Amino acid sequence: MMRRILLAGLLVLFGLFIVLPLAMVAIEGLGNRWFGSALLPASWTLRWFRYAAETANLEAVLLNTAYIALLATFFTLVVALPAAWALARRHVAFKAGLVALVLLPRMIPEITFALGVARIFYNFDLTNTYAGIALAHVILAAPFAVLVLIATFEGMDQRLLEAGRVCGCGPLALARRVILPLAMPGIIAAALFSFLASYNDFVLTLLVYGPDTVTLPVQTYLSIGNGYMSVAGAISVILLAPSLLFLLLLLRMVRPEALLGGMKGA
Amino acid sequence: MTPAWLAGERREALQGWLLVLPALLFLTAFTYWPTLETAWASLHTAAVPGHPSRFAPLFEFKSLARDPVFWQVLRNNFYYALALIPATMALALAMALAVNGRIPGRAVLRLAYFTPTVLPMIAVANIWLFFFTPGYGLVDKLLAPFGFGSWNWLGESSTALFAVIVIAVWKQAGFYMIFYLAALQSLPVELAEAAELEGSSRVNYLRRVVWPLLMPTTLFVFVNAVIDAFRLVDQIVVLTHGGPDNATAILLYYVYQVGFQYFDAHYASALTMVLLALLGLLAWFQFAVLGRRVHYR
Repeated sequence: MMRRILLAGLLVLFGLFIVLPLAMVAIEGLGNRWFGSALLPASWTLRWFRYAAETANLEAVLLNTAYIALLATFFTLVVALPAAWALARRHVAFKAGLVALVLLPRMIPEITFALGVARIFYNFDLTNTYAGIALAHVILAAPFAVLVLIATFEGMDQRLLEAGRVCGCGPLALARRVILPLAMPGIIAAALFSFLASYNDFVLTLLVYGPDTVTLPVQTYLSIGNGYMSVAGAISVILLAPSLLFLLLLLRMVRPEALLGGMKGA
Repeated sequence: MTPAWLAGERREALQGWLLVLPALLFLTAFTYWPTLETAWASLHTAAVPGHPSRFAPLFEFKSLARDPVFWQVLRNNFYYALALIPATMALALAMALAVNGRIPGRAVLRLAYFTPTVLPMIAVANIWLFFFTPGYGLVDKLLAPFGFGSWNWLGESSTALFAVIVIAVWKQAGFYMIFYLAALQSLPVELAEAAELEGSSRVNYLRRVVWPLLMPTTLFVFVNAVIDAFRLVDQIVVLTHGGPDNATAILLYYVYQVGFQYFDAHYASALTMVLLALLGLLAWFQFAVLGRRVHYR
């Protein structure tokens, strides 16, 4: 009995450790005059959100962030899908080396190549463009997407592909009718992770963004720098909402733990 | 008509390469090439008016060895890793064990544990800023009844590093939990039943059955945790700028500072090379030494 109470207490503590900070920032974003030792703010207000919308041009920032993240997801899938397919299901010379080459950038800290990327971007006028920032995010997302997709394609049953061929599917029909449906959960997972990688990125974006392409993380940073703590709190709440939505989607659609379980050895 | 030299296996190999090529070209242009440029730059001195850049492979590394901040940063990073890696891994495993059992409110708990993982680090840092604010912050409010006065957690060199570590633990533990949870769910049920039949205690079952079977996962999580211990700097960029008095500057942050605030690209390049060498060494150690001891199912 004693042990159970202890365990329950520990669980609650863990929960508080995770949840309390989130609640705090929501209260800060919604509260009015929350100073001193008061447990809760004196009154509630949407003022900071309005203020955030005014000072930070939130609507444009939100649209920028969504647009860039969608583009980055698309670009990532375009390069990752064929590569993962080849690495998972074809006989390619030096396969192990190729896999390592594609996955290694995950280990290199962004700042190592950030300067080089920024230089390339300046030369090709890619800074402050949607496509450019999306491309920068592909660097972060692609290795992980390839990793997830390799696991997905490797888990595919060869017999189903052969059955499709026997039933008269050409390569295109095979891709559309057999491979795509089978790989869908993996593709969705890769897409969601790519979207999140782009949506979350701060360091690399900071080096290539411009006045027309401010994203939410960058704007949060700028707001903190300007000393608008409650505005930063409000923006953080706004940042939280899509994250939670994605999390729910991810948990519902693909059970990430089941998917990632296949790549323990990677 | 396919030419004869391009038939069968050769054709398949060529197609395979063509499929990988876009990803490879992309990553080469944006990661490997810039990294090589960095390596090349680290072997040259910076150009100043009257003294053009010249090839001097040891110059930057020698000034690095003489730089007291570099050694402090290295020491900081060592403590950062030493605290961060075991704390996140232990928390991750504990959380995975908690939500793997049949307890009420499991789904909500799982969601709560996951949330910090998907939050942008910048929002996380911002959240914790409210915690650590001297006087107003929750940490001070909680400690006040016990007679502690207001304390500037992020502003005092004795606690700043600890504060940024707590933030990193909070952010990362949920991510590693996913892997532990996956491994726990793939454990055969018969093992638990067998252990119960044999009258083994729960602690004994965890220690003798679950822990050894989790070893591959632990290695995988460990590899990632080590990388993260050198890579997680967003909260430092936002909250402390490496201060006070370089107390929270870790290697990657120092690179950022030297490269993008002091604009000494050559010195930053040399620092980067040290960082990459360290990461490479750790990776080699993990796979060559630890990897061989782990038994994969």
